[in-house]
Amino acid sequence: MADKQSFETNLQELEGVVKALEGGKISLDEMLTLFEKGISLTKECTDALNGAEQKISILMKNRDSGELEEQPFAGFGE
Amino acid sequence: MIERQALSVTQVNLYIKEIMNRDDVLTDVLVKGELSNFKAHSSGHLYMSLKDENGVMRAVMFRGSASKLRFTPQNGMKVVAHGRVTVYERDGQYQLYIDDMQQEGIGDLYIAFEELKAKLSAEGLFDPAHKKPLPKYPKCVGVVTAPTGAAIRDIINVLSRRFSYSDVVLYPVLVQGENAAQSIAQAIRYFNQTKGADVLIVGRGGGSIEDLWAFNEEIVAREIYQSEIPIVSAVGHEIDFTISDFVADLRAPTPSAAAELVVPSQTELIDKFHNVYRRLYSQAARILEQGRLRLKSLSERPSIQNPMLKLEEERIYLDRLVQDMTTAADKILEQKKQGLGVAASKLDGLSPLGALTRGFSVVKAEDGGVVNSVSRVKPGDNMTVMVQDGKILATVKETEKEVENHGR
Repeated sequence: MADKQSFETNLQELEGVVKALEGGKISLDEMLTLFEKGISLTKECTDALNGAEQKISILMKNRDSGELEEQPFAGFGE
Repeated sequence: MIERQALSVTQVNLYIKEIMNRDDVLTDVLVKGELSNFKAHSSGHLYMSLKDENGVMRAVMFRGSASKLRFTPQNGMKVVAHGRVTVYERDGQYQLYIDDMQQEGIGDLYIAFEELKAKLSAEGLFDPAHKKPLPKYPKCVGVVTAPTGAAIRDIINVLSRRFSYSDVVLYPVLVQGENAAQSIAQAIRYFNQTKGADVLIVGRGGGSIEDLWAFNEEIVAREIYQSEIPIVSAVGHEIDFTISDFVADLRAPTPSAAAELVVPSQTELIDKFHNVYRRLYSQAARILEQGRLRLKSLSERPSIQNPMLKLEEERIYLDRLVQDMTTAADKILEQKKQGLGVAASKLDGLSPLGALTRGFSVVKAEDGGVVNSVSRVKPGDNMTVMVQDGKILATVKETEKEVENHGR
């Protein structure tokens, strides 16, 4: 869940950065800071997506405890 | 009787229509009967009668509703129709305007469906205000469906292709049969208790109305309503509507459509990032260019470019002042000079020399004094006579003093 939070937060922050830059009424120093930040946020977001390995699992009852637990989903049983 | 005003036929028909349109039973009624006089018009509208042992009623089903029928109506078929009864003014006949129709048998389920739908709707379970927005980027998608079959396969295929960022957790359930509703409700509850997903897809593939029935059960509807995790329902095909669809936060026409709805497209997102990247660069470049232009325009100002210019300007100004001053002085001098000429010529007229030109002459004695009296010279003296153009030397022959006649 922490990853997801940061992904969404990053994305929101990135949108803010672009908006601020497009507003244009900022000093060169601020611009450089924003630009640097924007580039690193973009990279983080893209990396998060590209690096994501989807986990597909199925909830199965543990024979001993009777509790549900996640197990890799093997297939569609066809 | 004589005093009363007669109503027109149209007025009476309209009056009856208004009464019927205000009636709660007639505006939302389920009617069962046998089809007769069935006619499918080329316009797509269906015209028919519904009859039982003792009576008959005219009915019409317009194209929009007719196109959603799951069977082909035939004369003699026993059906349950839903719609409203009202007057067709032109004929002065009432008829049933059908918006949905099922074959009887199936019709029983249909009645149950309509009843539950009305009940839950009245309770506010379908209230749009209660519907939760879906998360934009779910880290985990929970799926409540059968572990085998087209639905789960379609859902996983789409989720994998579209957004690998989301994990998928399947809670396998029975989707039809006696225990199906219980099993589905339990799965929804499980995800809520464990906070095991950011969004849920609840559904199954297509089937008959009986196959889909679990999704029309109250226990499922209530569990969906209570869920804190947003739920997308995906039951059967596009034309199948279940109670679950009405309660869910979003209805997807099919399971694969549900998967499309719960996650964004990764390709589109990455495109978006590239786009943002470009915008960042172009904005930064724009701001830099602006700064550069400002610097350039500042550095091109004459005061920066040539600091001596101001001095030069002062010098030029000074020169001009001197010039102006000289001109003015010259002019004054000229004026004075002219004035002098005039005065000199006037003076000239007054000079004795001037008289010479007019024929007078000046006589000077040997000693240089002017001879202005006979007594000033004596005979034999030399004199100089000055005329306009020179001198004449002369000698005095004699002097004669003129006697004044008025005496002293």
